[in-house]
Amino acid sequence: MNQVIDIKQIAERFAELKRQEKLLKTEIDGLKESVLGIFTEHEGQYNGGTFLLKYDRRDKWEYSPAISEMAEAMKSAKSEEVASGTAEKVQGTPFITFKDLS
Amino acid sequence: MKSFIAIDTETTGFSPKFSNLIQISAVRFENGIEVAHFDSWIRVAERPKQEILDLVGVTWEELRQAPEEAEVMEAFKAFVQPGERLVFHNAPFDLAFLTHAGFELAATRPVSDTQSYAQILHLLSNYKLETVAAAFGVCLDNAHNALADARATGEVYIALKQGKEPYPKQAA
Repeated sequence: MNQVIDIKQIAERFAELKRQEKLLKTEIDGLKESVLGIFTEHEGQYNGGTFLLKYDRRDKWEYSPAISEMAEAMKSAKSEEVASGTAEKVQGTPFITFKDLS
Repeated sequence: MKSFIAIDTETTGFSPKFSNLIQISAVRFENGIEVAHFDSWIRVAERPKQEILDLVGVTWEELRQAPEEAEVMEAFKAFVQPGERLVFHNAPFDLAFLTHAGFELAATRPVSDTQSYAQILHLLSNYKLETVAAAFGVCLDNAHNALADARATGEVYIALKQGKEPYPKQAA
């Protein structure tokens, strides 16, 4: 019985934190553009005394057609190995999906 | 251009909780010219890996005879004037070690980061100090020694502030 209560509490706490996470993410996304705007004036770094905000950017590479063709060929080869049973399926990292019904 | 101090540190690892500072260097620039510098090795209890010693350019004997961290930090704090702009290349890394060692970073202290500043202004192959320095023609012969890196950081900062354009090709 105790175990059932613990599971219920854990599950409800997990769900509550996921709800909070979603709210926080929405708020952070809303502030993101304004925060990005401060970095040119602050030369890449905002010093908050107890925290630092630093501008960073993930640049992408655009490859030549030769590389794109190789990537396509690799994708097809992988699909073929899965279909033929040559590729071996191994267990991945577990994760939990959360759907807010409220 | 107002005066500023370019700072770099060398450490035995990536986390201030598990690693130690072994060198702090700071170079003061006034009107775009170096006018003073601070540079000190820091004694550590355990011998760092040989590749770290080789990378930063110090022997274990030299490091064993260096002053204690507290003594170096006092001298460093005396060198840095209140309100003076601090310039780093990847500020969070160096500031994490410096604040862990007792440096207080006031919220009013202006801090610039040449790594991020270069990212905002220019598209380069990467934003390592060597690459950014090469892009702006800044000499960095002794990379990974804090004094050489601090000098290069200061010169890169000046180039960025002056609106210089990078050379078309940078070293990877």
